[in-house]
Amino acid sequence: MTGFLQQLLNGLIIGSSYAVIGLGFGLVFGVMRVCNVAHAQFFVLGGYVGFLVGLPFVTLGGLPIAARVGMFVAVILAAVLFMGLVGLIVERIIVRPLRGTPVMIPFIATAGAATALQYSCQLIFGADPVLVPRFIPSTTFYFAGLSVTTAQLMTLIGMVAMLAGVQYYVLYTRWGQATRAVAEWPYVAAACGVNINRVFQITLSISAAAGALGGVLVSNMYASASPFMGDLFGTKAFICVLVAGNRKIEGMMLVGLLVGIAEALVAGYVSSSYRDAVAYLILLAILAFRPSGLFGSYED
Amino acid sequence: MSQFISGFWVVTLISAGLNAIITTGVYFSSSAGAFTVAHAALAGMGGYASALITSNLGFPVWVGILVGAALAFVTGSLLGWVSAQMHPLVAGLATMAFAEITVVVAFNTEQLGGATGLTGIPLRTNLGLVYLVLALALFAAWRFHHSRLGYAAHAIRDSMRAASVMGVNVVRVKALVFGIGSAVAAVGGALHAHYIMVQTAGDMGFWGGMNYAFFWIFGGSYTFWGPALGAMVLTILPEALRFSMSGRYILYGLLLMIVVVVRPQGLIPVMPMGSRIGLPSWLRGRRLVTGTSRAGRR
Amino acid sequence: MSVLLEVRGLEVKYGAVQAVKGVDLSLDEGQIVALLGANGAGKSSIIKSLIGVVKPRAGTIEFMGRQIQGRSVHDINRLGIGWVPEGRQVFSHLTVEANLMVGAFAVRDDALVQRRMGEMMEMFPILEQRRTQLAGFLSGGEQQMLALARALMSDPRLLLMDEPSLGLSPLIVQRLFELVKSIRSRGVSILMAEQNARQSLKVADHAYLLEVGEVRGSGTAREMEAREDVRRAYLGG
Repeated sequence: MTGFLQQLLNGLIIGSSYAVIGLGFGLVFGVMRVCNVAHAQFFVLGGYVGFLVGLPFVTLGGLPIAARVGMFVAVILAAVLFMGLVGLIVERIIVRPLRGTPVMIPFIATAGAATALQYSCQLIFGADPVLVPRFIPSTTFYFAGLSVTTAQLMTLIGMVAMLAGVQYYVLYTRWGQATRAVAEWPYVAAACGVNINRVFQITLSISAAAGALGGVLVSNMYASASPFMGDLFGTKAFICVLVAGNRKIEGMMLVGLLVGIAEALVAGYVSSSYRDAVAYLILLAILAFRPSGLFGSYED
Repeated sequence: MSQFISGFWVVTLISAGLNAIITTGVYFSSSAGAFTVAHAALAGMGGYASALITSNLGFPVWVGILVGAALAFVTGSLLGWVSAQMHPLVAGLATMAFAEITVVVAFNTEQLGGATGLTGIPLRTNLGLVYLVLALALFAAWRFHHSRLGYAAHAIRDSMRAASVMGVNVVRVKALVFGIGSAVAAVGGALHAHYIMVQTAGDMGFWGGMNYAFFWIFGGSYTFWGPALGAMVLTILPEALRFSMSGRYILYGLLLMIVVVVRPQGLIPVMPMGSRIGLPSWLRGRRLVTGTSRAGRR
Repeated sequence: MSVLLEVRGLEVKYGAVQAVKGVDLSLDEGQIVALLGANGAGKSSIIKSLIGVVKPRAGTIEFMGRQIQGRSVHDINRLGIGWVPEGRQVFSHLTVEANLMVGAFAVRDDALVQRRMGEMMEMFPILEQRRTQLAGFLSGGEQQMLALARALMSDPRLLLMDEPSLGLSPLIVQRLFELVKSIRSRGVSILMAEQNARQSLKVADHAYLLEVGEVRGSGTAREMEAREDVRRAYLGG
């Protein structure tokens, strides 16, 4: 039984990272109808930025835990803010010119951007994974027969915080409501005084920031970063959005968690080499029966 | 022939020719409006099949290639059939899912060599053979382009609704052309396997498929020879300019962004600017609407 | 009475199709003006180009002395034009209250927004009842009220209404047009595109008849009611 629960826990943690990256991607997809293939690169870049910013400080010795936690938080903030800026740039040069075009066009354009970004990372950092040293040394906590490392715990906390934050923004703030309005009827929202371009900028920034958060936390958890780590996470997060439908953000998060859990269970009980296929199989199955996703899309 | 061209160029020309064959396969499969990133996987399928048939079962190469093509035809037709009724984005994603699942399966199957792949494949491909096959593929593409099937496919690409109203069996045509294109790609893949003498699954996934999609878009998806030309240019040019692997992909990525934003009909200037014949409706729609046709919604 | 809206030579094209071919119209402050005509006559296109959703191919639109053609939609809203789109288009996943809040997005003063919300609840008691319900679950008539209230939240000088009676029962349509009159008495001028000529001519001061993108006639509501072609085509003889 503990084996099962342990797998469940591991799956939950990985699933929460899928949920966060899926959230970022799904926000843009839902609000702007843009399939941002380059979203995974936000994840990768965020991870590298965190790595670069933290590198000079992480080796400093003799500092109390509180300071180390503080430094790590600062690194996260730096990555998140930087990527938020990158998001603004991407919105300006790629997304805005392509607004209103059929859905495959931004797909192809962002695929090009993704390729360019990914291989730029490879050019700069090399194709091999870099070792990402941890601010907070890894210890393992045990409770109720289950084990969880500090890195995993931080990932879980970070992800939950992000998800809660975005939920709050979307449901309870003026701009969040305006964003939901824009997602459904952009011109009607504009006729209410909402600046659509501004909403798009903010949405893409949040999306990029979410990706960055995921990147920093995941690269911390695995203590490595590579230009290709985005591929796996990105496509799975992408699948989560497709399975969940672009209407409900909670749906995307839920699917993210479920995919993580399903993967963990398959890896634990069937075969670890098939874990990557799980997400795709779920996708095909869902698409065959409910093409607009589990929770429906705006086009319904 | 090869004695007159330096070794480096022989390799490059063979690569270019093989890419052109596979990208012609993309042309066939996309002629009814589909967007595919599955053709790297389908090519790989041809490679695996031919490798097994020749190495393990001892049949001659042409049998291997035929079996590979037949296998890919069936698989591709199925995939085309399944995605025929889907929304274009979803259909494209179905090809992506197919590609990735194929990779995972290949990596995990003993008979296919697992992660290391198949080795010791007999060398049968040379420059002449590659370009002979390419010529045949382009000939077939030309005949297809002007055949009833080709017209039906183009009609579907322009407007699925209009085509079905005219009596075209949309699903069957889409499945059929996808299958044909898959078979062509598989031939290319088999030739590739018999050239480098190994077959692995590493390049068969989404990004491998995107590669061929790049060539297809760059070369101009509305002519039967555009995709092949795009493949050759984008293979030879980076080699000639001594681009590194990373540099090449950065180039592809940037080119793609520019092409899509500026000139969706491809960079090869043949048709006059503004001509929209033959582009898939989802690629064409970009500049036709100057106002909005529905209030509020996109 | 001053001229609030002056449109000259308006042309709207969708690709190769010309929906509006050189239309002139004007609206004075405090007027209710109706755009009559069949489907495809160009009424909707005119409304959409006034709110900026569609960019006209040619022509000028002057609102309160300012040229507004080509401006962005939210700018036009902030200048004092409200839009009740065809088909209601309420934000179905937001509550009634949230819909109204978005309607007042451009208003910075929170107290003012709350006050307006109260006024809307008074004018449309149904909305008060359904305050916390998701707009997607409202009936057609309720959604139309909501769309109207939402447009009024920004306190526009000019309200554009696109086919408000579409898909609604006669009783609700009557109530709707009564509301239109009371909205005018609050100082809001109204330009409405309507296929339902009978009802709209009852409340309008002035009307334009549109056919195939051109103005075929205009005059006071009484004059229009008396016209042969209008009677035959739209008023049942």
